[in-house]
This record gives sequence, C-alpha cells and structure tokens, in this order.
Amino acid sequence: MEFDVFLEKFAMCFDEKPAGTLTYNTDYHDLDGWSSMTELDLIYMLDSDYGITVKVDDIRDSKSIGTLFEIIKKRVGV
Amino acid sequence: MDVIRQFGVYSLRPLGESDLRMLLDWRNSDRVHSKMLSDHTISWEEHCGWFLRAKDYEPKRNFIFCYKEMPVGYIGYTEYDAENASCSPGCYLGVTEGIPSESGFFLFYAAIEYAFSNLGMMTLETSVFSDNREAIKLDEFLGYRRILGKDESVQKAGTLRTVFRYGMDKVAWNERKKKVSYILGL
Repeated sequence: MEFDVFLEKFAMCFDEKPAGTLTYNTDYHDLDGWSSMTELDLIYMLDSDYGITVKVDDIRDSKSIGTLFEIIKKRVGV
Repeated sequence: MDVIRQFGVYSLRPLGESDLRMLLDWRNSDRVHSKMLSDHTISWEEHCGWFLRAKDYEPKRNFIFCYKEMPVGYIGYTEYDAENASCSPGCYLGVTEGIPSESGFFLFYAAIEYAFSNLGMMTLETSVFSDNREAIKLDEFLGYRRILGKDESVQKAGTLRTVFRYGMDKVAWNERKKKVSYILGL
C-alpha cells in the first residue's frame, strides 16, 4: 500500500484541492474545506478503494494523514 | 427533560415549551431556512400554535437532539400515518460550532433509528432539494434510495426548485444499520 496513492485519493475527497502541499504529517482537521462531507467522502473512498470500514473515531482521533494511513495500512494487512 | 434515547454521546429528548424560542431561532436562521421546502418565515404566534397542537401527539413526534446534554438540533416526524406505519423524518442542526464535525451523521442516524425502533414505522420517506448535495449524500449513505417519478417542483426565493423524494423501508434499514452503527461506534 503506497502512501503517495493514498494521498492522492485522500486529496480527492475534498471538493476543492486543499491549498499547499499535503504530506504525511499534515493535520487534515486544520485544512480549509475539511468538513463532515469530506469525512463522508473519505469513509466512502476507504470502503470502495481499500475495502475498509473505518470508524468516525479513527478519523477524528488521527492526528495526521500519516496516522490515518498507518491505521488503514494495518487493517488492509500489507 | 428526560432523555428517551441515547446514541453514544448524543441523545434525544421530547421538545418542551422552554425550547420554543431556541427552536424558532434555529428554524428561521438563514442556514436552516434555506434548506426548507417552504419559503415561509414562521412567526412566534404560528410557532406557539404549532406547539400547542404538537405537544399532545402520541407518540411524541418532536425532539431536541443533544450533544453531551447540550441542545444542538431538532428531529421531527411529519406525514405521520399510523395505519400504514409510515412517516417523514425531518431534522437539522441548530448549532454547528463547538460540536464534532460528524454530529450530522448521528443526527440523521437518530432520526431514522428512532422512527423504526421506537415509533414502529415500516417505511420512511423524505424530501430534499435536488441541489442539497450534503443531505443527499448523507441520506444515501444511510440507505435511502431515490423514488423515481416522485420529483416535485416548489417555488423557493423566487426560483422554481426541484425536490427529490427518497424512501427506505425497515428491512433495508436493519441491513444498512449494521455497517452504519459500526462506523459511528454505536
């Protein structure tokens, strides 16, 4: 499971591409455009693209894109 | 006021008289009013008149949605048909600051779950503006499906707007609920 691919899919959950460069350490909760709808799109994306049903707690409690990526990676098992 | 149903840190309690001013302020706010099918701004007198009728409904059909006991939203059921066990849930957040971003998920979930499990409904239908992307996405996520052929047009702020009708039955909800409950940690 490649982080770059995950990052690209993550960015597509936003209606408008977030300003600046998204990195492993970006706290996505602080990004312009982060909303409950982004969260819902993220849940859909993780389900459809990775087969992972993620809890809203995981999304809320993850401090960065990287933290969320590690949770998903662990669940996917690769 | 007594909590009648808990959903994690969220809860429902019946609408009381002391909630009326707050509820009207929410209902007439630009954010909520813009999503309502009706163009009408409700007066205090109309609001009180509605409550006088609604407070005696059995079972109760109007509720305050709370986050950690703080009132943050409203859930109500209209088109109530006991004989056919069907109704139309409506809900909105009155407060959007200082609450978790996923509160809307819990609000919509609570509106559906209470209807099926507590009110004994077998089918639900709801109407939404065709351009209300957020509500449509959330409705579909929760298991509502669009009822083709039941689109309507309404005048809103001088513009003719299309309204989609969505529906879901209890069987579909019981199936969908497993996944949604897991996602919400309920």
